[in-house]
Amino acid sequence: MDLNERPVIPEPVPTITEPPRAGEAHILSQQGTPLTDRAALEAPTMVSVKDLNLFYGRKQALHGINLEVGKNTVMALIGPSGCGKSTLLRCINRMNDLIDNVRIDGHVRVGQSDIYAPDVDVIGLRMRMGMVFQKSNPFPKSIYENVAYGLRVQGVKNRAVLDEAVERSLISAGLWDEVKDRLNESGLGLSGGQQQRLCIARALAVKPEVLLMDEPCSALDPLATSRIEELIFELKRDFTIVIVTHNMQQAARVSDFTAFFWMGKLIEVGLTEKLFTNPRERMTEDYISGRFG
Amino acid sequence: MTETLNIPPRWRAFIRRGSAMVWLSGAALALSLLMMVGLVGYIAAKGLGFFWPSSIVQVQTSEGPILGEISAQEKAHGTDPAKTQFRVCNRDLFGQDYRWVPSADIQDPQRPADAVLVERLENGPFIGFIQDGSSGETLVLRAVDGQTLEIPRKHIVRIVPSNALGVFGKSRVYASRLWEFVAGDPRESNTEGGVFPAIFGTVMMVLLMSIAVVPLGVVAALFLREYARQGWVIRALRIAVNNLAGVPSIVFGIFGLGFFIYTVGGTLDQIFFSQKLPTPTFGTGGILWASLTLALLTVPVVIVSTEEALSAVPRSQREASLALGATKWQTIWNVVLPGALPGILTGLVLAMARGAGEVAPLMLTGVVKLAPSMPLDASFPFLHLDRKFMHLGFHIYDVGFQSPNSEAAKPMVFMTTLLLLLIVLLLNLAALRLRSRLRARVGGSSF
Amino acid sequence: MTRIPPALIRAKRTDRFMTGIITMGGFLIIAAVLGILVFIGREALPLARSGKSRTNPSLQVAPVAGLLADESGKVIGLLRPDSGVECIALPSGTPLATLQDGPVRPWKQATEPSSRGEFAVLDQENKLFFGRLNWEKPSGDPDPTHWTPTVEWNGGMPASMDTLLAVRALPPSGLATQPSYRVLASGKDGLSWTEWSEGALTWKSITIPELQDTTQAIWSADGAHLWAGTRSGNLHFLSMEGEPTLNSSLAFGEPVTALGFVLGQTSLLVGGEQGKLLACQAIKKEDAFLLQWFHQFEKLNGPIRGFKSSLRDKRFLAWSPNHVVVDHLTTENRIFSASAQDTRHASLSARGEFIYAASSTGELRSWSMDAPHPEISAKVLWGKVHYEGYEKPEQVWQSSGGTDDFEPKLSLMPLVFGTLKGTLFAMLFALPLALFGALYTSQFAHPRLKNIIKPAVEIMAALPSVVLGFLAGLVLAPLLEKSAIHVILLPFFALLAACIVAPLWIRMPKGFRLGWGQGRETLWLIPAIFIGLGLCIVLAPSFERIFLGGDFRAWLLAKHSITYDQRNAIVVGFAMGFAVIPIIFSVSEDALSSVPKALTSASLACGASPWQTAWRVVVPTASPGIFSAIMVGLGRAIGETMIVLMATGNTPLMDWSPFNGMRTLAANIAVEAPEAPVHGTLYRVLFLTALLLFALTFLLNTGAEVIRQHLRKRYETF
Repeated sequence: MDLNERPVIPEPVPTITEPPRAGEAHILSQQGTPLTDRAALEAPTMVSVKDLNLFYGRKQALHGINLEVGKNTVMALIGPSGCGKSTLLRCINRMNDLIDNVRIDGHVRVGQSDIYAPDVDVIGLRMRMGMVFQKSNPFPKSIYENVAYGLRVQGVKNRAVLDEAVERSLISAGLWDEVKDRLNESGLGLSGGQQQRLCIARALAVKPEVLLMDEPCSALDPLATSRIEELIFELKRDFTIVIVTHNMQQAARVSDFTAFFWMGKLIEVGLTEKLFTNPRERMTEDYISGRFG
Repeated sequence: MTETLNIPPRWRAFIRRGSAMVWLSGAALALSLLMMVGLVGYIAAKGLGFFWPSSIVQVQTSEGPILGEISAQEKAHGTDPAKTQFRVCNRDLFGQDYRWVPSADIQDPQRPADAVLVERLENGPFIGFIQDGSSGETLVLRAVDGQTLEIPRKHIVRIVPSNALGVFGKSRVYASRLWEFVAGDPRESNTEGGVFPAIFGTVMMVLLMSIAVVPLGVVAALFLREYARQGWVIRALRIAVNNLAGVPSIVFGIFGLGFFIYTVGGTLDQIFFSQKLPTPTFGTGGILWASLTLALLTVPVVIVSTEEALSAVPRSQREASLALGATKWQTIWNVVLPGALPGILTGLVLAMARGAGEVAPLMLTGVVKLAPSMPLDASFPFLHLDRKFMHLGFHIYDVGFQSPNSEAAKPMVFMTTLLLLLIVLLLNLAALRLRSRLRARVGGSSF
Repeated sequence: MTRIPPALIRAKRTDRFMTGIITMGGFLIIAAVLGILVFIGREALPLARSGKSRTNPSLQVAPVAGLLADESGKVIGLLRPDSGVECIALPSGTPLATLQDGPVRPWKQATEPSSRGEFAVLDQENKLFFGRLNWEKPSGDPDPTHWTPTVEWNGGMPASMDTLLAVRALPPSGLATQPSYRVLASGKDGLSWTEWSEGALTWKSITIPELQDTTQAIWSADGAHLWAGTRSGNLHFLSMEGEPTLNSSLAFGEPVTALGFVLGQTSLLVGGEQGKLLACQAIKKEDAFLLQWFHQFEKLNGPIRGFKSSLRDKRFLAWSPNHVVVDHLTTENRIFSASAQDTRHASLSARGEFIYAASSTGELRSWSMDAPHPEISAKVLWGKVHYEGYEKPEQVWQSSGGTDDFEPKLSLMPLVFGTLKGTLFAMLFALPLALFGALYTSQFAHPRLKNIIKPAVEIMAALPSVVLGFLAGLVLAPLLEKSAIHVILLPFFALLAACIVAPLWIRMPKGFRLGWGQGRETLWLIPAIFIGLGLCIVLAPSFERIFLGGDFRAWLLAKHSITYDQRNAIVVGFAMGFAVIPIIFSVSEDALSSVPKALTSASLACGASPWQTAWRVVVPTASPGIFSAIMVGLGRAIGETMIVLMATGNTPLMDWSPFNGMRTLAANIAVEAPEAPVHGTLYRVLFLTALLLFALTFLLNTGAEVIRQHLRKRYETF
């Protein structure tokens, strides 16, 4: 992309008028005007991000992010590469802790707990979250052990419990019929789409409260992609899902809400339908109409 | 100049464009490869040929008849005439095993069918004829000069009537000798018999070393790669540890001598074995100290390849595990270490290969030419870590260079060399295979 | 936060535990591995420490005519002309016994006892007695009060002499059971000497004018020679077999006031009136003796009165009326120095740990000294030192000798020299082969060939050095001895063969050349090398016959007076070169292969031939990598032990001749360490050499690694 063709964007002024109240859904726009919607109002807040700043060393990667995700809804994070959407996702289960030199201020609440509180237990927190990565990353173990992994590290030894969880998760991930006869074969022997669904099953096995998906379909062919998308649609019934995606059609297809990021800032968030058809920000419009990104 | 010499253009191009130099550098490579292949081939030929029964030749010379195997022939050189060397054996009768005779002096070569080579427990083999084999207790032998000798049957290892044997018979003798070599005890100050104690000592020492080196190397590598804060200190440490692999083995040897034997062993003796002093128990060389010294020597190898393997485990797998709420240790134990296993094994096998081939540090820390007892036996406590041991590499050095009868011992040395070479090369090949499989799996090396 | 499952608590506890274990373990392991350096350094460090001494409380005894400390230094014998030999325990001063038998007291004269406890007494009746003090110690009893002193007396015949100058006990010869004694004395008629062996004394006078003003004299160890120092400041060396004859003399410069031997009785210490202290030795050359001053020590304050030597090493005690010192012969260092007024007699315990000095009033002063390695100094290790029996200062390594009184010669230079020589020859052989081989493999070889060569070389790097050493020592060395000329000629014949193959090659059709030649030159050259070898075997004997008179070794000795050792530097260079070729090859091949393709493509695009590209672009770009390969190879060659041990004679010579052997630092450790007594000087010197090796190879490897990392960073920018 030619840098000169970038539209001139007025410096956004992130001003937040009013902190969101717990139990009530507030979707804040850049200007701070609450966008009320029936579905959003009905859903209790599951994840809320407040005044989140993140620095890699001296470089600021996220600027004052405020975002709420309702229970059993799908939130899609879109934006050009390097805009900070994956970084935000990884803030939600504190995977950024693994990187040296990261400094975070602000608050992230999952359910009732502030996950950046000093006494919080990171391991316990991550158990409550499922995460699916950009590239499928099954362990070099059997399919069964891949799915059971999360429970095993939680200390579950009971075979019946494990069997039940593996079956349930594989069914949820839509993989059961394909692999039920070869649960003891290596997870690496599956096709790309199957591997990704295996990873989803692995994430589901621990019954997470939130499912974080980091571009889960970017390495898949269209057929496998559509299967995953269907799956996301079904999973929405039981889980709260935050999905990072590059693909705007995908965001439009699977999500209830969409947040648009640019250069580490949250430009606009709203009902997917609304954001795609009638964005309030000029930049959002430019982005979704393909003028940059 | 070149113009006046009228070199054909083809030649000029060959030289000016550097093709000649390409050929020359090719020659350097060819020479190196040839030498290496030649070396291994030479050892194999010399070692393996030795057990094959060769014919016993009888010749007449001006100094009387000679009966023996032809072991070497030398062409005329300067003022020296051509000579033939006979292996006449009968050390107790003739005083020497080998004899040089001017080739011109040799007449009437024959291969008497009744000539035998008798391998004995003492005094080396005998070549001659069986005079009287009727007694069950003893055997009367006659040498070519008519001297007779009576030896008890229980001193006889085997009788080889080389000239009368066919290919099959010779093969049987060959197999029997090979087995004796691998499974038997040495005789006649290591110049005959087998090398079983040396094989056993080598294996034992390498195993003990492995037991020590794996946890040390893996823990150190885990620390360097997974737990330590990456910075210039760790980078410097890593270079330092890598470079320890290049420190001469003899330095480790003298360290083992000074630290393990005199300092640690001496202290152990003072505390636990004071009733035996001044005879040292652990305060002298032994298999434990030798193994630990070698473990120190080879630990950089394990650290380096473990680190390489650890860094080759994809980051995404660690993240997947951590995202599921596994602790760091659970992730390492369940995901990282299984993934790095081939690399760790490669390191171990390389360390074993290096350990099996090292001799210099052992000479200071407990290897002996002839160990009276094995480090592992049926008497309590079965594993005797304080005992001295034999080693194939040291066997080569000792028999080849310290033996009073080095000419007679030479074939044994070749065979021992071949055995050691085989062990080391096989271990290295295994490491190579393991590593290439690992690299194929994770896709490319981590360098 | 809701309830925490117990499994999680357990998992987290395990995690914390393992984090602790691994951090601590890893840290400890790395510290331990690096601690090797510290340990080796610590073992070598005491070499650099100078001696420490302590003044012990002094005792008051009666005035004495001589002092004789026991080996342990815990008891001392006092020669008292009026009461005999009195023995006391130290440091308490408890009297043990007074031995009053033998000569009639008070004695007229007693000589200063030798370090071995021998002395002579001229008693009240002018009878000459020879005494020897012994201690009978119940085995293993360390308590000196349980020891019994005895004096073994000999002689006892009248002697009409005024002053005893020198007495020497000679061990019993033939059927005799008692020692015999040679005595030099001066009387009214000048000097005379006698030999006593069970019988009367017959004095023979010595009428050599130079000896007129003799003040001090001493017999050589075998009694065959006599040293005499004069008031006029000369030292004379006499032959006493048959008629005494003056062999040769040296000028000392001031009146000689004391003579004494250092352990081994070959180095004579000469002390003068002004405190001058020199050591002299007589070296036998054919029939004559070469007399030379070979060590010079710091002056003492006041005239030197006597010497006592240690019975363990080459240190000795010298004293003047107000100065007591202990010097070491080899290093010329002063280990101990104390000013002590009015010192008349002094003694050094046999191990050199205790020093006693008695004043004229009978005050017995004592010192203890801890100087574990006095024979080491920087000059001994690195410089030239004049050793006993050597005509001039030299750098010699000879750690042990046949006798106890051997002077250790611990110069590291021959070892460093040997290491450099071995490394040089190995590199001469290995560098061209390895570097050109690597260049060919990385730039010209067919990928399939490359895939075979690289692992093959890698495996060859693991070849045990004992195997190479064995082949070099037992196969190559005899072969080379027999046909050195073949080996020297082989490269020329190989070139000749290449010159035969090359034209054949050029005449091949172009298609064949491109299809079968490129990347496979090596395979085609193997036959050429064989042809060269064949030519060499056929033609070399004729060459030797025509140009070298039929025998290369004889020619070498006759024309260039070079002796040919069977196990020499060429053999080592060959075998060690073999060991380093794979290392240099792999490292430099890596460097050459990783030169970015963009560079070579650019060069080729400019119309350069592959060789020109390789030589002008690839090699200069990869030169740091090649340099680092050479450094790694050097490190390996420097530390190689078994090959050198087996393929050289391990003679610590300093001679560049390729036909002689050498001894390297590494091989030296292997040879000497098993026999070196723990914490002895040799042991520590060996640790010093190990430290040297460690530091050298570590620096070389680190340098190489740093260069490689720089190179990697540079390539990354492409």
